[in-house]
Amino acid sequence: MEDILNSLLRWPIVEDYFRTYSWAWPLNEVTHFVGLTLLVGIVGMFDLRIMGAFKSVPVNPLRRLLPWSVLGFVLVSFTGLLFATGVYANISVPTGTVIVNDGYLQIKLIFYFLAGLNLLLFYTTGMARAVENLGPGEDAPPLAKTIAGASLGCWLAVVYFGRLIPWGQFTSAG
Amino acid sequence: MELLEALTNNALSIWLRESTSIFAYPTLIAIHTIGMAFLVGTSCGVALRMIGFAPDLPLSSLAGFFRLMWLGLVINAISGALLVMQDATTFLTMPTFYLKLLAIAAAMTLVRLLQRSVRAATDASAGVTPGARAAAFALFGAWLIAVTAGRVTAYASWVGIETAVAVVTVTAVLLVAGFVVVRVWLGAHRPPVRRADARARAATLAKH
Repeated sequence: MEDILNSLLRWPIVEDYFRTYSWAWPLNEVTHFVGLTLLVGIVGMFDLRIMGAFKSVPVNPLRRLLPWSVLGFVLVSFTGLLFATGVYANISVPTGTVIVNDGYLQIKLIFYFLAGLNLLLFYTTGMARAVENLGPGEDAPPLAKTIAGASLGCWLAVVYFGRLIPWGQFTSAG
Repeated sequence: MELLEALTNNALSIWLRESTSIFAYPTLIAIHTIGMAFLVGTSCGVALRMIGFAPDLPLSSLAGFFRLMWLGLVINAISGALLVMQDATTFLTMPTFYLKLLAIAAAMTLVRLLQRSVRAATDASAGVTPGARAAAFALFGAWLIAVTAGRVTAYASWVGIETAVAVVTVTAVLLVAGFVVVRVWLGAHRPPVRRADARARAATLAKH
C-alpha cells in the first residue's frame, strides 16, 4: 500500500518546483487558505440558512453565490494535490509514507469523503429541490437541516484536522 | 523588552509553546483558521453580492451575516492574542505582523461600511451604492494582504517578500483570466433590455 502510494504520488516535476523556488511552498499555502476560506465561508452561509439561521435570506438567490465555493474547492484541490505530490521536497519523506502514518491526515481525508457523500445525499434525497425555492422566513424540512448541519460539521472537521497535519507522525519511526 | 519577556515567559505561554498536547498550540492555530474562514469567507460572500453577483439577493436580508463575521473576529482576536503572546518577542518585533494588523483594521473598517449600507437598505429593491461597491472591491485586497502576511510570518522575511510578489502575480493572472471568462459568458447570457426601459430611452432620445 505504502509502496504503491509512494510510486503513484511522488511527482518529480512538482518536487523540482518546490525545491527550485523558495516562494513556491508558502504561495501554495496562501492559495490553499484562500480556497478554504471561499469554500467553507460560502458553504457555511448556505448551510446555516438551511439550518434555520438568517431566515430572512431567500435561498434561490443565495444559491447564485455557490459557484464561488466551487472555485474555492478547485483552489484547495489543486494546491492540495501539489502538497501531496511534492511534499518530499519539504520534509524528505515520501507521500505514501506520510499518508499511512499521519493520523490527522487520515481523519481529514475521511471527513472530506463524508462531506462528498453528504452532498450526494443532499441531491439524491430530493432535499436540494425541497429547499431551492424557500423564501424569506420559510423553514427547511428536518432532513435538509440535518444534511446542512452535517455539511458544516464535516467541513469544519476537514479544516481542523487539516491544520493539525504538521503535528502528525510522518514515518513509522515517529 | 521586559514586557515582551513577561508575555513570552508566563505559565500559559510556556504551556502553549512547550506542551506536546495537540490541544495546546496546534488546536489554537486550527481554531484561528476556522475563525478566518467565518470572518473572511462570509464577508467575501457579502462583498461578492455588492460587486454584482447574486443580484436577486435583497441587500436588507444580509444583515444577519454580519453577526457571523463579528463572531469570527472575536474568535480570531482571542486566539490571535494567545498566538502572539506565546512568542511575543518574535511577533511584536516583526514588520510583517504589523502589516497584517493594519490590513485587518482596514478590512474591518470596510466591513463596517458594508454593514452600514446593508442597514440603510430598508427597501427590498434598494441598490448598491457606488461607495459600498468600492468598499467591497477594497475588502478583497485587504483580506488578501492579511492572509498572505499572516501565513508568511512562519518564514524568513525575504521569503515573505518573494511570496507576496508571487501572490500578486498569480492574483493578477487569475483576475485577467476570470474577467475574460465572465465577459464571454455574461456577454452570451446578457438579458434582453426590458421593453419599458427601451421605450423610455427612445423617448429621451426623441426629446433631444
